[in-house]
Amino acid sequence: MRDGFSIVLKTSWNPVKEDYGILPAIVGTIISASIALALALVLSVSTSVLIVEVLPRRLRSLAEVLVDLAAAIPSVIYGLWGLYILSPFLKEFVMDRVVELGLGGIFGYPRGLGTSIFSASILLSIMITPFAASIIRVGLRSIPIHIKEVLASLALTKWEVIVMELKYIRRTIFTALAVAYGRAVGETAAVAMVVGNTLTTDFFKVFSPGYTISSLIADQYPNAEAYTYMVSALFTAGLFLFMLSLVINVLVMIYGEKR
Amino acid sequence: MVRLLSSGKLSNKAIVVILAVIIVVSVSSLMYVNIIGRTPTTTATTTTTTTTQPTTPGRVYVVMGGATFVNPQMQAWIKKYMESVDASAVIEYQSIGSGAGEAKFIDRALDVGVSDVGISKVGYEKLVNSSRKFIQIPLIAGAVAITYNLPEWNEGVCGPLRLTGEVVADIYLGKITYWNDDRIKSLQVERCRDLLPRKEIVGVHRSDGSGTTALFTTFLSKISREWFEKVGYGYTVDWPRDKLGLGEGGKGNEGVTAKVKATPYSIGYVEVAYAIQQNLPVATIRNKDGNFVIPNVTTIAATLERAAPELPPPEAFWGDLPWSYMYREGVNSYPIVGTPVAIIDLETSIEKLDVIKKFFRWVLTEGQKPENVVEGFIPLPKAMAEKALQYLEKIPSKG
Repeated sequence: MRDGFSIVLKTSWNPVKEDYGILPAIVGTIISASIALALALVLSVSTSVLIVEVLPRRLRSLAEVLVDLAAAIPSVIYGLWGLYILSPFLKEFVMDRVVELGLGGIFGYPRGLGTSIFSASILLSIMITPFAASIIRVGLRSIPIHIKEVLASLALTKWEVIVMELKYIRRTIFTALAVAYGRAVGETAAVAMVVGNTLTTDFFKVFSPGYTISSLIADQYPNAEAYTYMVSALFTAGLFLFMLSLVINVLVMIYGEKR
Repeated sequence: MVRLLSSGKLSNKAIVVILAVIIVVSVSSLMYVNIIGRTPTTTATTTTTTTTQPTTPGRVYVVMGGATFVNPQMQAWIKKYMESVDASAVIEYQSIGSGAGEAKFIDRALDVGVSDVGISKVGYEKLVNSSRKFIQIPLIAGAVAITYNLPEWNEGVCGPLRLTGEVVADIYLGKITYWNDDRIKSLQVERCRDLLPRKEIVGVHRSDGSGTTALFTTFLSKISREWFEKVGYGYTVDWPRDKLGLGEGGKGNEGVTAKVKATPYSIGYVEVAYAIQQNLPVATIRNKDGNFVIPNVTTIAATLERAAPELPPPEAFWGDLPWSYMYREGVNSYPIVGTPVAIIDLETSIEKLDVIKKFFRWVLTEGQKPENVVEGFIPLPKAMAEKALQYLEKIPSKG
């Protein structure tokens, strides 16, 4: 603890001078997981509604199996797909287009394969959607029959019924998203492959390559013990990751599903 | 309302409990971090060789570990040795990274630690302070190749791109921005100079800590005063070009390769073994004698032959060894080479030492023959292997 709390506020990572700062990694973790969560909210709610309310009965079980299978794909597979297919695709069709609009100053400039905080966010949203969706699906299914009967008796349109149902299970949706966020924050293998793994001073720009806490630890730990303070710095980063998850869990206990 | 209130109370309690947990965990981990930071060797004696060892009578079990770069070569050697030389020995190599190999060796969890660039100053001092007995030997040779993605460049007509250490250092320092910089242009053959486009150079580097980076930055430090002062060398450095938005990290040799391949106008560095296996375009580097050389068996051996007499004594500090390898004199010496170094614990049992001694004697003789060297690795020059064999004699044996 040579540095005290300042390790959290510094942006440099310079083992040669034994100077460590983990701010870019913390910010990268929060940004990537938050963007992923926002997208996963839309994706998982719509997937669940589609499966439970919209699809014809025969297709439902097939769709369910597909979504659950997506949750079972190992994250390193997602990582490879993200590195070679998703990132270049996003770079060509999203990031480069946005930069052409002159917004590079705000979002940063993608490089090479397009590996960036943004790519990591999109990949994460795809990875966590199945988790959130399966919880929300169960929530939708377990709406008591008398509630459904009341809704049916009100002569509402299908759309209005779905909105009412979603409001009814909002705590379940919150829980689902919190679980998904926990996974997004701690995801290592896939993110380390697409996040760009570069410590820059413009770490808050999503199109630039960045770092997350878990990818920083994965990258630096194998040789950390050759330095005096690097292990301590990485443990501090790990502590922050743990505290992030803890905060999420506390929020779930307060606002989440009640049994 | 009542329910809400009561549930509110419950969660208040929960919050208190959780806050307490947070405090306890943070304080204890801070203390732990403190202990690691201050007195790193206190726990070393308690964690002696407790690795799970199948105690088959009559079989000696030797655990080695460390650098990931030599892993394929070590596995090949071990397989061959256990199959055709000594069937009674059980040797294992764990590819855990140079730094971890060093730390585990200090903790006596490994009988032999292997590091890409020799043990660090910190680790060496720990060993000396606890008066451990050990010797170090070089194992095999490797080099760092500089690869590039320059669509306009026609290798058939122009030959490989020519670079100097100064130019590479200035590229990664961010002082040279464009490919058509006069300093790059003037190195190329006359007819190809105008092929270099006015495009920004993207400097790709390893994002994970690696011996490759250590060798590459040692070379740049030796050749460029400014690099040495501003950046320095080590497994991971703070890359100045990243700060300009013109640099990017890739994880592992494969990550750097993927990024260089996908990024036109980029430059990167990889282990020469990897460059050969992947058939990457490799730049020639100007050596001390002023010749542009490509990394291959001849040029790397040429460098090491000159460095062999300077191999430090087996129990000295070897961390400066890469420094002495870089940018050597000699007509065809390649300037960025290294040798992974094994550090052998002389305080393990005599049975283990016997196996270790025989194994490394085989590695330094038979193991350096082409049929036992994995593609892309380069055998040690004779002078160096012979010196290492003398060092091995320091290992006590049963007789």
